[in-house]
Amino acid sequence: MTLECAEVRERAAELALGILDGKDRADVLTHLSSCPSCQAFVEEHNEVADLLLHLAPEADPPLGFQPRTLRAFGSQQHRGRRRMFIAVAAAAAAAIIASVTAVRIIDADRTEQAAPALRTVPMIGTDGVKVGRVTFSKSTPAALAVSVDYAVPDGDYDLALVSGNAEELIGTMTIADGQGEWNGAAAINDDDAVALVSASGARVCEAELRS
Amino acid sequence: MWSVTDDALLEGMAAGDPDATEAFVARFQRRVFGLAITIVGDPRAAEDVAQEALLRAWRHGAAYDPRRGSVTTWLLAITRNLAIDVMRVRRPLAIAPEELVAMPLRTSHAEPATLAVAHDDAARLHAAVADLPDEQRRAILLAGIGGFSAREVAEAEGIPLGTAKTRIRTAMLRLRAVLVTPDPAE
Repeated sequence: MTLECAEVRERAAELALGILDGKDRADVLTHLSSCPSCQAFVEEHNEVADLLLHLAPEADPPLGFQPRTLRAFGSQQHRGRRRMFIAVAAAAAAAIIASVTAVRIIDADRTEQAAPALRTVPMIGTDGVKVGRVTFSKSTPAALAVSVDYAVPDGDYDLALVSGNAEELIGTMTIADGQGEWNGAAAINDDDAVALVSASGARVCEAELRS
Repeated sequence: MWSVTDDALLEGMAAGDPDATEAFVARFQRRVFGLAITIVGDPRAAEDVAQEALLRAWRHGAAYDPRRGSVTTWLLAITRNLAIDVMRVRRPLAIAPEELVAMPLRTSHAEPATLAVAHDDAARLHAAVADLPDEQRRAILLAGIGGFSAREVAEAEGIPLGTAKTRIRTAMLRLRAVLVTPDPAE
């Protein structure tokens, strides 16, 4: 659906506030990609939306928050080298999104060059929230790097390659402190997906391996 | 360290300076945690959100572009997005709408003097929000800080979806008009 400027401007407030979802959001972003006038209109709303956050009251975090946070930085630093391979493709994905929306970037990755033989796809949870990512090579078998860093409860999960209705166990992943990583290899096809499966057999998140 | 600008602190943190990193966390932890707990309501979940927000700032500090807004704005936007994601997954933890709209809004006098322009705008916005008709003020606080969708605002307020959208849109237009109008005090 192609929206007119007036329709986009009716939705500008919700877009700027980050509460416009799904198709509505996609339609508005499509219009904005080719309408500088509406982009400027939305940008003014973005400024209001950003400033609203300044009105939230301050609050003291729990005792020990600062040292715990600084320790978390330290543990991330040790894992940085392994994450580099993932970050390369993630940066390319972020750059593409930025060029399409041209509205604002809140949390962009660094701008390394993407390795052409790699592709990164989002791992999406049952609520539609991005919970991690899967980077895979175009070789056979494909090298796979699965990373989950958000909103998945701690615990042990099966990692399954989903082809149509069939699930093939390719590994296991432990989520601890909200994070987990798995590296391995598998023979994949274009329409396959990688899913994290809980002990009860429920798929908690899934990534479609589209090349 | 407290006289260092936010931008310089972020730059130091991105470059791996441990002193800058510690100072950055110390400077922003109350803002980040305050916003997180305002949205998610639960201290444990708010701590997770606040820690992840600071972690992302540490990890992506080099990508921060001052032309797009202040460090505070950037960091609070990261925090809000994370908190809303958590709230959508763990809805029972979300703060009650009544509690959110009744919270005392933060005034800008506590900010360091390095952000004078941002202060002025935030102060004007603070006044403008207070001047909104009550139903618009509630709608904009639920949507703008709490991350409630128009449908959720409608449910919380017991009003039709179209009315919720209108209240949000009208409130945003009024606030925008205040910000684009030259400050008479200048």
